[in-house]
Amino acid sequence: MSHHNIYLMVNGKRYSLEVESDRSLLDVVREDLNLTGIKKGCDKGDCGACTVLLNGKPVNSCMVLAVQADGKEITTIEGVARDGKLDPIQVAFIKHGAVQCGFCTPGMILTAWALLRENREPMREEIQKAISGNLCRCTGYVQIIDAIQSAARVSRVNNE
Amino acid sequence: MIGDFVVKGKYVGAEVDRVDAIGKVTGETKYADDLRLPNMHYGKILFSPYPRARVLHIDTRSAEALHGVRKIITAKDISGNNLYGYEIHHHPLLVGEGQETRFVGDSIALVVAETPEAADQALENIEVDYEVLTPLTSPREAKAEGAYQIHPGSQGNICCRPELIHGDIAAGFKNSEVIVEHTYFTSRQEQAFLETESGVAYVDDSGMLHIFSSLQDPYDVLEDVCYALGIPKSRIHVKGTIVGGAFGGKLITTIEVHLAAMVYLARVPVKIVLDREESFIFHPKRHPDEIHVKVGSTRDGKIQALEAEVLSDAGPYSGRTPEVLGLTVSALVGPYGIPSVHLTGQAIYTNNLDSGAMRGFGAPQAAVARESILDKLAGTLEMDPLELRQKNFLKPGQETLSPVLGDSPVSLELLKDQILEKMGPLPEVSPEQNKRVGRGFCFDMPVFDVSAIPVLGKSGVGIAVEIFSDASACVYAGGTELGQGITTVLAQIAAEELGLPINKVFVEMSDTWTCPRAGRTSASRLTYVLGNALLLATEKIRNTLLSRAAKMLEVSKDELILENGKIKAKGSPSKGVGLQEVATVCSNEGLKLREEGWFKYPEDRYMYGHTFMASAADVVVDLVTGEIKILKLVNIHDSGKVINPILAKGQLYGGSLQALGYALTENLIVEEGKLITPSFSEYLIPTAMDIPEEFVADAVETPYPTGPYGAKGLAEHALNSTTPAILNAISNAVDIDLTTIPVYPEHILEAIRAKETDHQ
Amino acid sequence: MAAFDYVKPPSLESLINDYAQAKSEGAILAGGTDLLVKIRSGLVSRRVLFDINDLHEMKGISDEGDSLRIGAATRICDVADSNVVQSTVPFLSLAASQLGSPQIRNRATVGGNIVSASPAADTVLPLIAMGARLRFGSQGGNREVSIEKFMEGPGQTDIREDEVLIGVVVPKLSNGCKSHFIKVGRRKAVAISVVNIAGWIKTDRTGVIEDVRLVLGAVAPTAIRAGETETFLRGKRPNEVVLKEAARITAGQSSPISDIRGTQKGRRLLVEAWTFRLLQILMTQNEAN
Ligand SMILES: Cc1cc2nc3c(=O)[nH]c(=O)nc-3n(C[C@H](O)[C@H](O)[C@H](O)COP(=O)(O)OP(=O)(O)OC[C@H]3O[C@@H](n4cnc5c(N)ncnc54)[C@H](O)[C@@H]3O)c2cc1C
Ligand code: FES
Ligand code: FES
Repeated sequence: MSHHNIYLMVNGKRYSLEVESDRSLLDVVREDLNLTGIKKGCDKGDCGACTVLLNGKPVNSCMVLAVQADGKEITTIEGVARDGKLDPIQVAFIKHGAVQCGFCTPGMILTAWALLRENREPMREEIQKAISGNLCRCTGYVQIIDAIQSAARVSRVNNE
Repeated sequence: MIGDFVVKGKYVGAEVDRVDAIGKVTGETKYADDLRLPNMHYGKILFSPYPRARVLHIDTRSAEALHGVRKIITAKDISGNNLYGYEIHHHPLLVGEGQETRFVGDSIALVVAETPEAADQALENIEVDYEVLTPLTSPREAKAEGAYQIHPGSQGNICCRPELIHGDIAAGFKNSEVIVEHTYFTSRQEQAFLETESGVAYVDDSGMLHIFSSLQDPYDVLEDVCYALGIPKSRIHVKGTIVGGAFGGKLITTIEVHLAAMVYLARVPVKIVLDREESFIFHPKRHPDEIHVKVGSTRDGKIQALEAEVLSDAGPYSGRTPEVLGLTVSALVGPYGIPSVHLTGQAIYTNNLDSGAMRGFGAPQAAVARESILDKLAGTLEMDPLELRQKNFLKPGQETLSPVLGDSPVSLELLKDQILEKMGPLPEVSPEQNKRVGRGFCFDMPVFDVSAIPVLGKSGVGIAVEIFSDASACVYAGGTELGQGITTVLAQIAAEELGLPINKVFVEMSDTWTCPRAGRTSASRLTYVLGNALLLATEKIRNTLLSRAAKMLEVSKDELILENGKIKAKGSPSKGVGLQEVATVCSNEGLKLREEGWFKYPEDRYMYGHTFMASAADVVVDLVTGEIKILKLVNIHDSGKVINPILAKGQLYGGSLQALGYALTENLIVEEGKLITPSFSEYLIPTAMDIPEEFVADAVETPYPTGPYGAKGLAEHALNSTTPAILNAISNAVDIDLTTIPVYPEHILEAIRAKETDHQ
Repeated sequence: MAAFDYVKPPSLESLINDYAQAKSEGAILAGGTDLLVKIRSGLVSRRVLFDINDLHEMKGISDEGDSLRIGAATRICDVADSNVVQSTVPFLSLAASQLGSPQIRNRATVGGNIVSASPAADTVLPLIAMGARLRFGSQGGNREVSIEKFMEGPGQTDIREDEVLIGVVVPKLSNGCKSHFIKVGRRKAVAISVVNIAGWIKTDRTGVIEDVRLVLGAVAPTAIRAGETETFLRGKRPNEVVLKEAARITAGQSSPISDIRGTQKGRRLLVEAWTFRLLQILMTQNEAN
């Protein structure tokens, strides 16, 4: 097992750390950086609870080695609210009842966030496809989809 | 119990934001795996690789010698009973030398190590000699004469045998002009909560054991830890963390006894987090059932007799099986008035995965059999399935069968009207497309536990409320927040009753230290039992506050109202005093500002209240490919007064989608006692793309006389009725009998072909 | 997870050299969506992984006239979204767009999908249907082999110990060809195929089938061409009876097994049903697609 000195840009902050080659980005972010917002639901790429944005794209952080993220930009759920202010997606999740147990929520919000940056006016089907890799066992997804649509609307208004 | 209903209060009945939402959307909420303690070690469990084997010898020496390994624990090390289990303590914490394993979730040894990696390595280095024995892998095999007894003394491996008799069944069938019967097979359903079993624990300087874990019943955990390890109850503190989903799978003790043993024997703080495969193996699932039903009716569709036999796979341990199967049996009657009924069930021990509670507690299986046979009967009678149901609806005043209480105003006709309206006309497809549409209905009478039996027969559900001198309040409730929203519901009620803004009300949950005993979080019971207890507690505090304010304002107490953080005289609005001032005075004078409310039901036995549910589905089935598309799915629920419409809808959608998975994709497959679908890529729960094209959830609110504000329980309920609605819609579309779930497209193709060959 | 070393070679050349030295103890790490799962569950153990994620020589899609060259380390999402793939080999993009989940597609690569050699691998089907050729590099030089020949069984291929898959050369669909891909899964997303089918068809002006390819996945040890069906269809004017017969013949060529995702009998029914549907779609599709 080799050790590697890497640096990660996480939520705009630079972290230098030494990691062992076989550790996942998920474990390193949760344990070494103590950013426990992202969750481990399967450790096999099946559930999306561990979603982070890697250079802006949603990936399962359990399927990425920490050393592979060297020098890359990472956004975790902790980086979504800015200056203590919730993002419109977070607000919409609360308002629409898109949160139950909350275990899927961080990953879900990050996926939605990435979607809305690429597509300001997604159709329901596009939202469904975008979040299809984020399993939620509690909500039945309806209120999540509603929330994302409403957040898109709010963001469009804010930007106009 | 409150008799007068608040139709819509400031908070009660309003779309109040979840009080626990901000932490969940920002990632700040700490689940068990997010907790870290100083010097925390990692615990792992060595599970039996065989469903049934005798443990001959366990050698832990080489594992113990590994770097970073703190302690290896086997049965020899346990000084208590080394057993736990709900009601019957027959689940070994550790299977020791000379003993037999009963399933692949049995534990052989525990490892405590400095890192998860070291713990894994230790697991690999524990050497166990097994004598592999032939397991019993089906209830039929297990109940056959001569089968070995999984639990000594369990003749025929019978775990329980409920029976429900009503009226004269022989006469009922004699009065029947038409009799149909059929057998239905339901699959083993996995709760599939996203957060696996996890917890941390430590012993503090005073010798107090603290357990923080993802659970549904802290009181039962406390009982189990005490019994298995011989630790005095007064030395155990259990705190349920925010739970990442449970659905019954965390209802009986999960890893807590293991965790406590590790902490006690290794003398360090320990964390256990099961991985997904371990989780799938470890906790009890929804029972796979074989249900034979026979129903007799007059030619004009009045059902005279219902007879059924349920054969249920209990798995290796009793756990919640008696309660679940009891409910399966009673739910076979459903919301119908049937003069004669004879229903029996048998749950049989096997060496398969364990069975127990899952959302709906056995009622979903019953609903599949009941509503399918009703459609079959309707087909035989050449009667509209909805008309048949309507003819047999439970009538107001008609008695329900124990343990289901008949004190709910009957709203079935209203639900039927509403669901027809919401469904609208059946969509059409052009015939040349080789597609058929169909509609299916299900009516149901889902139950919730009203009986307030929190732990092992001791009656009463408690809650505590404290108001502080700064006019903030805290509710201490022994239920657990699983995502269902109970924290918010309690905050709404407390804010309403204490006249406080909701952001001044805090709710502490699931803590055996601070919360009065409230029992399990299951059976859709908390809104009802804790809500009622909370009203009793807030009433006492209101009394104290209003009495003191009456003195201050020199008016009679009856003239005062408590609102928006103020106490005011009804007639003269200028006459008032701030709650903070009153609370400060009370506090200085030593008046009691922490009160408990204890809700007790008049009778000390299990009893269920019930709601009413109507579900309907429109599907289109492709005759060429067997593909099933759900065009529309509607659930309308009468669960009495709805305390929070957004949360209630969330429960309906969520339960309904779990039921859709139950109908079409979910199947936890066990072969020869071993799990062969150990991950989310093999056990398939619905994704966001699998939801119905149109998905509707709505409520009718008929107040329940004994409920808080007229409310009932509701959390589990949509799971019962969606599966049959979908099955009936498919049958209706392509005119085939469905007897087994999940239904795959190729089953439909096979059935269509079989029918075609029959016709030729 | 079994421990391993990690190396990120700076160039293709050094990758080839390092990889050859590691012999059977080394593995190529592309998206890792297959390899890491296998390592974690103990199915595979390797001393060292060679990360090719940032090797630009192995990434990207280039238009080379009659064919496309797709680097082995090109991500599935890039294949799904690529305009040139969509317009010249549309069913490859369709297959890519249905593989796994968005998160998986953002990591997984074409090369990984090919080399992992699952009989259900989605992009492999259109690649076989197009007669794609795989280009390997090793210290001994380059080698090219057709993807159909490359696949030998579940997880088994003709790859040599020191070879790296560099890219895939995919002939474009010729004018007038129509193509389609169908994935049959137990749910609508993140589902390993129970059966998958890819095909293209070329009809003459009178509607007679000039040429056709049909490839089936998940119903044999590797994805297979339904050769008998192709022969049967060539020269025929398709109508419902012909397509039904073609579907029946196709089912006969499959040799599925029963597993957790489906039974042998069920899979045969699905092959037949979906072959018919795929051919129907091909016949009614307008050409622009
Ligand atoms: C949740 C989930 C869902 C999935 N769904 C699907 C699905 O729907 N359809 C499907 O087809 N697959 C699916 N897969 C499997 C997998 O994602 C794909 O096969 C993917 O394309 C693999 O690519 P990769 O880059 O991640 O491969 P890796 O895991 O990096 O590699 C796979 C294998 O190929 C070798 N390899 C990779 N690149 C090269 C190269 N250039 N030269 C030599 N050897 C190489 C590796 O050493 C390894 O043995 C799924 C996986 C997961 C975890
Ligand atoms: S934990 Fe990474 S996908 Fe489930
Ligand atoms: S809210 Fe519980 S898994 Fe989504």
